[in-house]
Amino acid sequence: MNVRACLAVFTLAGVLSGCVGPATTVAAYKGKALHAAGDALSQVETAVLAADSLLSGRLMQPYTEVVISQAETDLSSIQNSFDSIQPPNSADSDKLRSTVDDMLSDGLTSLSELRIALRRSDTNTVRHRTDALRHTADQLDRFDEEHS
Amino acid sequence: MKRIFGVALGILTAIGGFVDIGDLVTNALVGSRFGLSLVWATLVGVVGICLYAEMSGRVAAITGRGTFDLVRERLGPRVGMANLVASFLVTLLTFAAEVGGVALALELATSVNYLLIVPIVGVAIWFVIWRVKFSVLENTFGLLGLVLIVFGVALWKLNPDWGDLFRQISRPHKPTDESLPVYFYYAIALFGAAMTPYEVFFFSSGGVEEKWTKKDIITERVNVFVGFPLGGLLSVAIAAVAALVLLPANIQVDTIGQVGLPVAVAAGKIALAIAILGFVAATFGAALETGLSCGYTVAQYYGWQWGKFVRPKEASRFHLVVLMALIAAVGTVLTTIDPVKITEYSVVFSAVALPLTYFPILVIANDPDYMGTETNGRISNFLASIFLVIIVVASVAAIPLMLYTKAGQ
Repeated sequence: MNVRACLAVFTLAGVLSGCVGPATTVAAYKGKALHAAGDALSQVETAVLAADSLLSGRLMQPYTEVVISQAETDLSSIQNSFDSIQPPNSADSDKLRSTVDDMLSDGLTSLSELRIALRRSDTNTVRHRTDALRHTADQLDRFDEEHS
Repeated sequence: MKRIFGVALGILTAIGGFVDIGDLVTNALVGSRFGLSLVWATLVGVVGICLYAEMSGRVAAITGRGTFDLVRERLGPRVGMANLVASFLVTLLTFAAEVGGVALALELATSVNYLLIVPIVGVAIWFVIWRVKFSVLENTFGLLGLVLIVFGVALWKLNPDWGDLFRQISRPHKPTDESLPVYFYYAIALFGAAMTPYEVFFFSSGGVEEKWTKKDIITERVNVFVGFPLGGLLSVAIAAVAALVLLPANIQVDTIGQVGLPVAVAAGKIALAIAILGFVAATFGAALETGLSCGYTVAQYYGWQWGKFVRPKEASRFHLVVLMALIAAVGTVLTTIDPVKITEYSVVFSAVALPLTYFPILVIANDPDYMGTETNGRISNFLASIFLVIIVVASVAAIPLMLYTKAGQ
């Protein structure tokens, strides 16, 4: 294989490995919903851990801001990717979409509010938004257990 | 006394210099998803890098010449060019990942967006490569990288069940919620992170820069066989704290901020500040090494004057390649591609390129025309041959696994 062919393979591999494929069956769609919920859970739990560490005096403010801001960006990206998947034509898929989308929206709203409160050094709101995120994390975790 | 100091310094810089952005991200990511069940892949990688780094250092000490110069002469321009292209591209990708890593680490300390920091990092790298003596840059960042021992302290402060950790390492098993292809994809990523090709080029070219001779082989061996395994232990500590703090919380690492969180949880703000210093030192040091390695590979292949042991104007083409590589690396990060994603791909593509990097070294280390009486011994050749098989298997499996698992999803 020549150098150009090698480069083409490497580029193609990189591009293909990052693609989001269509969901043609309910089972495939459920798999993607579970994947999105798992990724979202990771971001929400990251924010909870960072906020808890800040409130207990173990984390610096700039570090917490960066971690929470990244979690917010990543959660937004997860929601956009999930919403861009065309669900199969069935009531089950529509229900699944609505359930996951609601959880992602709740998480994103709480994360945005947490970021704002953090930059205003509003400790009370930080505590409340962290509790709200903990609730979303529980929902995502339950969803994962029920549908795995 | 001076010799003992030199050996100690070499070991310390080898430990501190072992961990780079690839080790930081991959070990934390794997720890947060697989616990310590993949530590075996890191250990295999550490043994491999020790074997081949020792060989390349010995080649540098005996011949006084760079790896690519010898590969082209011994195996011909075609094989030399294949080796050059694969090694250069992987090193350039790693260079971009390290530049991004420095900026991300500084972002954590300042909360200034990393994209604004990247150009400053680029200028700083250029300045250090241009102005600072080789031994100073190698030792300073290697020693500063040692502060990553704070991950070991954090592990101790977390007061883990050591028996359980040892069981996870000694009896590895795939977590039930992960598939076998994903498990092996990350095994290859860890192996690639530990055996990154630039570490060998930099080590051997550094030997030429520091004018190693046959007398320095013992020192070189001590550096490799003591320093690299201790550096590997640092990698295991990073995975272990992630396994203890992030895995139970369902957090999967995809940012460098998440890598440091277990240190804050275990040991608080000061420990975290030390960890951030370690991130900056490790990634900046690795950025210097990868940047210089880009220059070493091309200049050695074409037979140009290279290195920092001569004044920049006497090695102008070498410095031009380093500068162009730096511009490409900074430009890549400024496209807003996530540096952590660049890192994840760079360690896997490192695994793909490994045979092209390591096979020629094995050939030259066995050639008495170059090595005289210092060719590989039987044990060394036996182990190196086994590793060559592992390297080829990892290389062939890396891209199919990347496609099948959608890069480990």
